[in-house]
Amino acid sequence: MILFKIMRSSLVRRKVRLVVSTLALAFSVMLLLTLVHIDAVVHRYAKHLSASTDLVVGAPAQSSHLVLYSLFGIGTPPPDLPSDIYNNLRDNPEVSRAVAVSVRESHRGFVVTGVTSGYFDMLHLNTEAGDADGSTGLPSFSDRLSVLIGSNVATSLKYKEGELLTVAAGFMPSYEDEYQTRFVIQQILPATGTTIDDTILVPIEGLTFARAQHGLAASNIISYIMVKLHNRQALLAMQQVFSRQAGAPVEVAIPAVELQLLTDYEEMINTVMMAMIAIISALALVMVFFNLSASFAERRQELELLRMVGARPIQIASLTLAEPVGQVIVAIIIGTLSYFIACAGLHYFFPAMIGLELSLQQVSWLLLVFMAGFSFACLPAWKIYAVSRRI
Amino acid sequence: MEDIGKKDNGIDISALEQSHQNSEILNIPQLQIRPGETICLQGENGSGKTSLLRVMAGLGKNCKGSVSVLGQNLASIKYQELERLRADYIGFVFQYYRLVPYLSAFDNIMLPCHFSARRRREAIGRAAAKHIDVPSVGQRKDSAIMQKVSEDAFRLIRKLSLKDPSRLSKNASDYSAGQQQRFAIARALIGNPRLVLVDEPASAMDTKGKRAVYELILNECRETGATLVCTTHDDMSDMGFDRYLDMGELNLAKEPEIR
Ligand SMILES: Nc1ncnc2c1ncn2[C@@H]1O[C@H](COP(=O)(O)OP(=O)(O)OP(=O)(O)O)[C@@H](O)[C@H]1O
Ligand SMILES: [Mg+2]
Repeated sequence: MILFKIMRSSLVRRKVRLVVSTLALAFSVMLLLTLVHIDAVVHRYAKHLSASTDLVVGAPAQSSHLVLYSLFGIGTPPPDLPSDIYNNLRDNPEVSRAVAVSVRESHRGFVVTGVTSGYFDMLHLNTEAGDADGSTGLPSFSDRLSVLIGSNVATSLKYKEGELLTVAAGFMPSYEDEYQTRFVIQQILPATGTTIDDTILVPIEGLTFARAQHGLAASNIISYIMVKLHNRQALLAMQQVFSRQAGAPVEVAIPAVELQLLTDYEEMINTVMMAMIAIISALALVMVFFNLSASFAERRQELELLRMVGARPIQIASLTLAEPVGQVIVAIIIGTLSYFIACAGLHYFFPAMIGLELSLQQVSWLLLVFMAGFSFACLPAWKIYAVSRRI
Repeated sequence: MEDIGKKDNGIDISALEQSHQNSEILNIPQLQIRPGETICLQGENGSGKTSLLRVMAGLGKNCKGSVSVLGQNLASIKYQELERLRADYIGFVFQYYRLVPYLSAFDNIMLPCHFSARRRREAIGRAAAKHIDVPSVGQRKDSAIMQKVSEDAFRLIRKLSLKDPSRLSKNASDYSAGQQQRFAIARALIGNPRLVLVDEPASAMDTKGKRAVYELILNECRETGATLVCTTHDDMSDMGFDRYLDMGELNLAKEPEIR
């Protein structure tokens, strides 16, 4: 088809500018998709986390420190907390579930986390955000001396279920810090993509026992308590109540508040990035546009010739339209593909970045890019049509 | 529209006036060209030769008076009819922009046949060396049809003494000026147009080539009975055109300020 030939030849003539503008557009499409995705993941993740844990109680410290450590494992473990605070708090009628967590021991470089039984209900909620297949039955301890190990721990230490291990106080223990009590590996947890993968989970009673066996005076200590309330409305009130009733100075942090700060930051960054993407896309589209319209004057004679041999204005205009529209489509395809590749890459580092599909939001963004490109393309095409029509 | 070619109509111009920004370009009280007549249009630079050819092709702007081409009154012709008239019945060569530079020479020559079923039919009939209508061709435009059409293109190319007809795959802009003019002439002649308008088709050719090219144009038009209007600055008085017109006498437009 001669029209196709005409288009291809005129494309080839401007290939460098064409390739550059297409790639620029593809790049911004990829950034756009990635950003929309990150935004959605962060919000979903934050929502899940704050839904799973209403309050975090710990020894006096920065509340953000408590939340970051308890929910993300970021930072250093908070200071010790007497475990009777946990007992008091657990019996409060407003509390639906309270989980004591102790992070004071390690095993060959991996953190040993002592938890009470309700932990896995919370864990389930916590990992669901990042893990599609985390819904198969919750694990639980069969014995106070049985441990569950994260998938990374199992791979790097080559541990199997049924093997024995010991734990030691502190994170850089010396020989005498090692407890004599032997724990049995009950189960290797499936990979979740969270800090759980690098953790050894032990019943807190087991840890208390091991510490006592080792002759430690303070065997009954924990690091923080994660609390879920029956009624979230009571959040602020309970924060006050816990602070007063604890019997010792404590910090009561509300993850929702801290996470709100986090998502606020994320949104700020997101807005800046969006503005950048808008600029890149606009520049790319302007390039597409000028590729076409720069040569209007010199095309007048070409149009006359094409008209004289019988090309209709609509045919000539569709050539002008097809080129940038094709360019935008190619850019969207390349951008989407490289987004999938980027996602696969990011998934390696941040398992929450899963997603080999486009969300409705992303599809509507792509449509918007296409519509913008299409309208840009329509201007020169319409001009060509109008000029050809008068020949 | 199909009957245009069969009707005995040439070109009929009366009281044609064309002006651009208050300066008169054309003022031709009367000009009649019989069907099948071959006209050599001569005159100095700026005398309006190109302008007159453009008017005949329906490209003229700001025209007054009546211009009838192949029986169609250009003042009142419908848009689609003008489109068909040009595609099916008019072969032309512009003075300057002769070819689509980014298409191959071959594609340029074939261009009219891509847009006109009539010219495809005629080209195939011509290639079969018979003046017959080829009804089986119809509107089809597939590669088998275009293959047959191309035979006529090659016939013209050989006649235009272009050395290597098989190697016409270079972009038109990559050929010499004289070669480009020959391609443009082949494009104008392919598919037996009823009216051939050529504007200084041989200005870039050597003297020997010129005569051969004019001869070819004249022969082709006589064979098919096409009307020919050809402008030139060369002395073609012995080429045997039916009529020689001097633009200086024909065009009464007042002297343009710069000459
Ligand atoms: N697009 C235009 N705008 C304004 N004036 C024009 C235009 N085209 C032609 N003219 C004027 O019309 C007159 C006739 O020009 P035309 O090109 O028809 O001359 P010509 O006989 O073809 O000359 P040449 O032998 O140099 O090709 C000239 O005075 C020219 O200035
Ligand atoms: Mg001229």
